[in-house]
Amino acid sequence: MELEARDHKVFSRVGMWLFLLSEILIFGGLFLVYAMYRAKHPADFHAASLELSRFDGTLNTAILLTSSLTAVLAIFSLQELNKPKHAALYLAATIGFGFAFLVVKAFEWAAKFQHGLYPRAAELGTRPHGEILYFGLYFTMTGLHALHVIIGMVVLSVMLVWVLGKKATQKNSAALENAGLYWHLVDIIWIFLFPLFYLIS
Amino acid sequence: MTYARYIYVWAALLVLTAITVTTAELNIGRAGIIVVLAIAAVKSTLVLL
Repeated sequence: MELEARDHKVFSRVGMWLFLLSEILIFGGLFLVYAMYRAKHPADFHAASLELSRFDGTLNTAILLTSSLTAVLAIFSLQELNKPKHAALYLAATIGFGFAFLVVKAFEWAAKFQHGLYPRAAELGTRPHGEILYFGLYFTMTGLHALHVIIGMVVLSVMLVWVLGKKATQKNSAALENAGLYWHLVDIIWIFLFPLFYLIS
Repeated sequence: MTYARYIYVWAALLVLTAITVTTAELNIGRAGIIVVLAIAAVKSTLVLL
């Protein structure tokens, strides 16, 4: 039986959603570990969260939300308006915002390292048990998330080349759409990480 | 469908972020985490729209 183009599109979309669910499972496990330790050490988690910069966290949230906007505008420009050049510009902007997010994150991590607040640091060893767990989870989860940002930027760069090279077009935009979904996932994971690590009252 | 719809969603997400941060500043204790996570859930839905 011949498969029609429409079927391919449905298959690729279902496949993408299955992949995204597996990603959510990975982070879901970490969120469970976080919930257990936070329930056990609520005061330590609060004290440790005060070491993070709320300003930097809020700034990075705004950056990622804006990057999701430019990602969806890239898809819209190609699919609905058939303007590949606009799509390419929006993709470039999205990649730029991803990079800006990583720069802010790098400054934050560097500050933590300077203050001896990283796993197995001597200074952190003198802190209460809950704070050690908090920073272990902080670096694991924001690190895994940053890895996803980097992968997302690579994927979006490939899309940028494809759009410019007419490999992704108005009629053939499934890959770009899936890349956009992946980027939204990266955004959503951060939407949860931000209050869980920066805003503990 | 126009650009406008996406701009509205984006603006709503930024407003929700501001509310989240303000809620945390208020230190309303245990209810805080529920509010913050509920807003996060609403935000994820908006991102997917």
